[in-house]
Amino acid sequence: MGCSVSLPGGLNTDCQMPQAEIKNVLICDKDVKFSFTEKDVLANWTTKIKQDLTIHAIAGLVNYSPTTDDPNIVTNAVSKAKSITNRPVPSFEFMLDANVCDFKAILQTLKGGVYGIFFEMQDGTIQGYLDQSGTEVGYFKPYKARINAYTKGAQEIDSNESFKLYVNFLNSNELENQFYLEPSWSVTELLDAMPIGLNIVKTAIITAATATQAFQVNTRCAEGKTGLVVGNLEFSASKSNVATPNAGTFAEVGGGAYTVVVEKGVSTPIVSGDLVYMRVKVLSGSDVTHLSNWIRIEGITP
Amino acid sequence: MKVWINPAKAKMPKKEQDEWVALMAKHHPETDWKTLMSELNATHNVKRTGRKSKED
Repeated sequence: MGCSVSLPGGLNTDCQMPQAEIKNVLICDKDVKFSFTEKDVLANWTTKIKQDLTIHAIAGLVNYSPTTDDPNIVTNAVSKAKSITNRPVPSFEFMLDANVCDFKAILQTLKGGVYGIFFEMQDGTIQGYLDQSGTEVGYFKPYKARINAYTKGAQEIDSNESFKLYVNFLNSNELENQFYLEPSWSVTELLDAMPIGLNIVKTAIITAATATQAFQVNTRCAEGKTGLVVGNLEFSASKSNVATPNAGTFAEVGGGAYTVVVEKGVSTPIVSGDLVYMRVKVLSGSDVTHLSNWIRIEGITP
Repeated sequence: MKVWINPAKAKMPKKEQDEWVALMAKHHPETDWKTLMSELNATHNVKRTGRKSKED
């Protein structure tokens, strides 16, 4: 229970701005942070978007509603005075305005894990919180929240509420320390920095003897992505269950279709029980210009 | 169709390399794997003629 001193004087009655509504949400890794001086510089934000890949998505909102429970109010049986016995942690439902391909990637990703979330407000400010304790005092951070994406499959008639993000915050104190960053730049510049989304799908069962996997890469909801080279493939050593997953061969078939021989170690095709995660990541210098979802490739013993 | 082969295969023992080429040729006959492997060996200056090495 908080036992703070009473609200001190000094309210700024000359600045009675209503609190702004949320315009967009920025979903990021929960560990994203900016020092007090770093937070003002656009390049520090775009680096996290196109190099570190730790700020993932700027979701287009069409609507949202706070779903925070009301506090529990009890009446003292003797004195009849009311008191509040709990403090529900805030939560939201966000309705998204995304194309189906983008939302599919969101669905596959946001399954209840803990992420960071900044709000872009209607007045162009970015809301997060300013850490006021521990070893990172003064750092501007996103609120930590458990995020689930959900779809009803299609929009209902005259509705825009079928594609939802359920955002359940973890810590009330982060919202108590909320901080509005008033950047000199526009949040649309963050959108411009985002990699172009690619969609990658397997197009046939893997060839058992050679571990050759056919796949198709498209710009999300658009044409095939041609001209990829083997260096544009990224294999995840941490997600895969084999050491040093890599490409043995790589070929462009055309129209965004490719084949890759998936190997582990040096020249050993994957077999039954092996699984390898692969995605497309196109770099220009250190900047990621195109990025796909991960696909899971499983070996088959001939 | 341009096919890239992992340069690590140029360092494989000849027997294993030949087996791999035969396997790929059997399952993906649309590609001339023998020629591609020869080009890869040439690019990486791998000599497959003359005295055989121990591993060969």
